[in-house]
Amino acid sequence: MTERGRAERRLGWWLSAPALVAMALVTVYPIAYAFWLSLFRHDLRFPEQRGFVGWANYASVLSSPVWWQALTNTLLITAASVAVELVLGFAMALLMHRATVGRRTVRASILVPYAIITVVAALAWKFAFDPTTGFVNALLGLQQSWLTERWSAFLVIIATEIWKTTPFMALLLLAGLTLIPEDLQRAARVDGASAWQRLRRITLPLMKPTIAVAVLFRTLDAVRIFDTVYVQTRGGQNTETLSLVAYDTLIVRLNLGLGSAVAALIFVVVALIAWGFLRSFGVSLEESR
Amino acid sequence: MTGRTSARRLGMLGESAAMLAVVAYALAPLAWIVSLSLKRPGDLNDGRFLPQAVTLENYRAVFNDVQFPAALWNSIGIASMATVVSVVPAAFAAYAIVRLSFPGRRLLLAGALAIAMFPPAAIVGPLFNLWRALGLFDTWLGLVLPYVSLTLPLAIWTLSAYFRTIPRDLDQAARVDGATPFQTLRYVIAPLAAPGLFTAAILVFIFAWNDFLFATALTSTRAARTVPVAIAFFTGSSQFELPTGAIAAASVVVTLPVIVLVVLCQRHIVSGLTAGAVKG
Amino acid sequence: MATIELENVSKGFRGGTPVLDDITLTIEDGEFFILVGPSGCGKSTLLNAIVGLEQLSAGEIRVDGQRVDHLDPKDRDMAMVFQSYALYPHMTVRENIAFPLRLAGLRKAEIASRVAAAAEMLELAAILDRKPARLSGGQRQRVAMGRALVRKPKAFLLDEPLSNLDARLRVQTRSELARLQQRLGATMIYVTHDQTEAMTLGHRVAILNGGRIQQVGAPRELYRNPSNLFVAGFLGSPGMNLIPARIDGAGLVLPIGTIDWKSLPPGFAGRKQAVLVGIRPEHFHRARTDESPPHALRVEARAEWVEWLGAETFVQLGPQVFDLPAGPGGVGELAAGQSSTVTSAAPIVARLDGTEQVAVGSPVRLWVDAEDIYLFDANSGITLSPSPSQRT
Repeated sequence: MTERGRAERRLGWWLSAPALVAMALVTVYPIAYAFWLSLFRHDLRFPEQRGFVGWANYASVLSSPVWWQALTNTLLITAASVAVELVLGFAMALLMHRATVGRRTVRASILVPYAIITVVAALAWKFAFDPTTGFVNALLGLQQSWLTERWSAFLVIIATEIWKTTPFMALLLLAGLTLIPEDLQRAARVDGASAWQRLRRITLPLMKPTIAVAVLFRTLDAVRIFDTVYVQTRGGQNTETLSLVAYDTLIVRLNLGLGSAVAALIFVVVALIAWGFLRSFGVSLEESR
Repeated sequence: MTGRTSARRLGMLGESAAMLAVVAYALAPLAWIVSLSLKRPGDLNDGRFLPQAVTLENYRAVFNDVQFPAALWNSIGIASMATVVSVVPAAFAAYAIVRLSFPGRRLLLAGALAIAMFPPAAIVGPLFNLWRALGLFDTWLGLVLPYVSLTLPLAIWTLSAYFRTIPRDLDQAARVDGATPFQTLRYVIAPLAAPGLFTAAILVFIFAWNDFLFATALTSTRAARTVPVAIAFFTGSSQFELPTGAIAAASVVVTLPVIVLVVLCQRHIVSGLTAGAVKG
Repeated sequence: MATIELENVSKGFRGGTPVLDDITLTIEDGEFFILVGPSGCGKSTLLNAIVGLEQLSAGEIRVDGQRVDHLDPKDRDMAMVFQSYALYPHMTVRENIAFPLRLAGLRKAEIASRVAAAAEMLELAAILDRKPARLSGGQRQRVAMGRALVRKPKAFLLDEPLSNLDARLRVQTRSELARLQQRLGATMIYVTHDQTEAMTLGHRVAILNGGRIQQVGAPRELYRNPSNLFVAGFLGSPGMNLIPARIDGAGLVLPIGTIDWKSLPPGFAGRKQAVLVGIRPEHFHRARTDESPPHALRVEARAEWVEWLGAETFVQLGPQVFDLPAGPGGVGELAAGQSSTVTSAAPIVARLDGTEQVAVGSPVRLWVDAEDIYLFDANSGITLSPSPSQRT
């Protein structure tokens, strides 16, 4: 290795050290710490009972119906919202890709849901569906108390999520669409492919990596869902999600041992999802070149 | 021929209708919250989308409240601090990733990817405990730190995508022209990357501005409570009546500036948001 | 201005073949020196090594006797024109040209007068306040030149500076560049893949292939006396015809004809050896009744195809297919990257005067002076004959 090569290496390390340290400090260390805490009985309301309990916290979390219910709810919200977002987002992306006029306007307006604070979006939807302040019941001619029943509450939560994050999906997919050379579409047209055939045989196969990345990002994002549920039902009507369980156990009930076990398990769930995705799609996400 | 032109006209019409629908989809909830904020208290329960009469009373109430102005100040301060503290190391790291070859490159990219996928709920608890031990609970710094860590991947991706658009020939030309590495960064790279830095800054700012989970878990008083928490916990004068109008007004106040910013810089923001996910 | 010496310069990629392999060269003060070769031959790497953008793994570079290979580009006092021009997009033309002077810490008045002088020389005065995005290709090229020459560096290094111009502008700029170099008396090292640029611009030309120098010399010398098959095939358009042949008692035996042994160069008489014969297209002459020198290859063939270009006529001769020896060190390897001249089924092309009329399918009778026939070793590709002194 030449002198300059070594200097370049050194410079590279120096330049990336602050970012690496910052990222590790507030993630790797707390996760390790959470794992450590999860092996203890550690309830801030009963500090004298502190003691090593091994895997007992995990056993109580995994044997609790609350955990499984929250897991089911989270996966339900994730699956429903990501599926709808993908279809809706793709339609929006195709529209913006095709559009000759008004493209900027559409792009600017779909950035609005992205820019709105999630808490505000959740409140807006909550108020809209509220039987007293809302207009939805009047609009549909219903007398539904949306957020006090489980299934309708889910509907509102999922609708809010979809509204807020479909634009992100659409923009990702649009970026992927613009990477497909226009000539391929023209060639397929000359070859006699209909619009539907071009979509199925040219566009979709070439969009596969983009779709995989977009779905992965959105799935992992949806699994974290907290703000919307917290604002709209606070976990009531059996709509609790994983993040809410962790928050309640740790911050509200101050049970650090048990809560840390929940945190560690959430980490495992997310890691499993990510791993499963990367395996089945085989997309090298690191390849961001 | 007329059949074809009319079919095309129909297609154009359909396209325009679809685009209008998308715009309506995106703007309706915003319009709704603006409308709520302008309604008179007596009209709140009228079941209408638009206000019957417009009043600014809710805005007055929000700014006369003790909580909200403090929260606004906290949000502005914390989000700005997080932005600066995140973008600077991200710029260094992105420059290293794009321009230098060193073994840490892959580690950095993998780390950024891992953190982008990281569930924040998993670290809220440990941070809660740590921050109380370190005296960071309910302080600005206590929120700035997690925001910086969690936004670094986004900032690094945005900036490396940007640096990549700067041809390497320019660096080399500057070196041949007699520039030191620092002069190259200062006179050639930095001016060209300015829009990228700005984009990364906006994205980080929006993340910090938007966060609710850390803000509610790691604060307890006006000292560091940010806008999303203040809005979610708005109680108003009476315990039993939810001050819907005031909440809506507060929401509009914190939303509109960000929306204006985002719409003005839409091109950069879109390229920044998609930088990490799409190759090219 | 300066003399640049390269001694045993090498650069290897880890685990791969060398990019530069033991290159020794001297570029004289004030010389217009060309590095030419097919893409991937290492010419740009060599240029980057001279300016300091690439590190050497072995060897020395000296400028006026001083070693510079350990220096950063900024300390070598050389200017470079990049293929992309590398104009700083956020600076005006004026700022671009002034940038190296600013870095050198020159006084404002000095910078202004130098920029003005360069602008006048390159006719840039009218566009000094434009940004590069608003310039035409030719203007960008001139700005890049201006930024290089404003420093009065020891040497100018140019990396395919004309390749981004359209054909017409390229020819015009080429002659401007030659005049500029003459006027400045500057040492210029110029990288190109275009043999026309190499032949027309260079005082001397180095032909590179596979990271090695194949031959260095004046363009005329390289064309007349190529030292090996690669050089012979690289220069000339269309390329030299290569025909497998053998030497035996009767002389030189080709598939298209035979030359009696008396006309073979000394030293070959009586030997038996497989060779490759090289004939440049323009060395074919139409056989008339009375002319044709005593020692000539006489060819009778069918005109398979005829291309009439006005001033000249190209005739493809049949039979077309000869099997050229391949394998290690053989023609196939030497000719890598020059597929147009050497393939195992290359047709033989003769270039005749535009007034000659040849019908497709008709027989043609041609001759080639024995003096104009090149012989190459069939295995190594090295030129066997005649010795360089014979052709001038």
